[in-house]
Amino acid sequence: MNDKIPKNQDADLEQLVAYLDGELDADQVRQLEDRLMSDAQFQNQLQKLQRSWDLLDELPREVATESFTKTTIEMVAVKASDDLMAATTAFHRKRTRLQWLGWSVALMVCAGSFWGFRSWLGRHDRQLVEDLPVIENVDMYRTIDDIDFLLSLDQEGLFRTR
Amino acid sequence: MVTTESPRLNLDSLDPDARLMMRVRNDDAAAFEELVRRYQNRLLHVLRNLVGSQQQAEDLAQDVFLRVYRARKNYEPTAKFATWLFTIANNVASNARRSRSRRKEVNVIGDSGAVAANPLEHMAEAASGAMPARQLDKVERAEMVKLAMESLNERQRMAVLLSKFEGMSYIDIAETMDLTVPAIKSLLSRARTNLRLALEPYIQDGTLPADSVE
Repeated sequence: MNDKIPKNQDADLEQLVAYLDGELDADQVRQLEDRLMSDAQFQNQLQKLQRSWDLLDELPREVATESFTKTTIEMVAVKASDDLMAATTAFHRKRTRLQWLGWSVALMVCAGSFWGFRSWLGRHDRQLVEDLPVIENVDMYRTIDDIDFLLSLDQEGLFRTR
Repeated sequence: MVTTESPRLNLDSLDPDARLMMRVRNDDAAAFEELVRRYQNRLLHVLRNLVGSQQQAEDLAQDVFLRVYRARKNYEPTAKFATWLFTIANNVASNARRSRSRRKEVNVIGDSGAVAANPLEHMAEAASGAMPARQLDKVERAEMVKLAMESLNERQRMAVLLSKFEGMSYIDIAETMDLTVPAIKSLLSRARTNLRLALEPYIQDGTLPADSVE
């Protein structure tokens, strides 16, 4: 519905309505009441606004039935239960995921450790294999006092694995 | 030296409904039921006059209470509980209106039975003496006021309902409707003017009994 009041009366109407709603400060109330005393049209406007406002009391008041109250509380209880179940399911799902993640990490750590240890052991074995030509004849080499001779044997590849 | 303390909530300073809501926040089911009982009639009244349909008003009211419950853990009593509740109600009603618009439903307002379907016919029946006079007066007045309310746009109607029936200040209405105080002042001024224009004929030409407006 369009406002049929001319624009220049808007401010007056706003003041009247604010006055009826108790939203004006003391100075504004005094000024408005002064004007009401001297302006019959303004006063008439106020009365009409007040009368139409009072007529709103004729609107039937809603009274909720006991059934409405019961249904509302039950509905909320069911939703709350659903929410709780969803939260619990989400929690369990998250916990399961975390458990799987934990087991995976533990497995990877174990696998890594095993591989590292195995690799370390292998490196020791490789060293033994590399030194095998020397180890096999170490007693004989100990009898040789000439280091230059031993170095020349090494240069010829006698101490290396074939 | 300036010492700072974490702000402690003084429950005694809260309005009683906010205190109830704080109990709801702590999962107190009895407190929630008490809140429902305290607010259901007020909420239904506002929603009924906003959306027109009794059934839809009840559905929306239940939706509002459900949202209140779901939001309980985040509730902070920074404003009056009623302001918070009616803010939710305003949003729920606006969403419902948008949904209705999308569905292009024609019958947006009014399911108040035969009287609302054809108020003029009803008045004619009443004038013929088929109905007791006092009953006519009451039904007629209610119907005229209802039609006058329906002539307002939704924002005006909400502001009127909050002001008239919830007794809210302009500041609270502004907070509820997410508008400024000057906007509310203007909105209510136009709403009251529109109501006056809609009801004036019934007040002036005697359609309504004089004692009803005294």
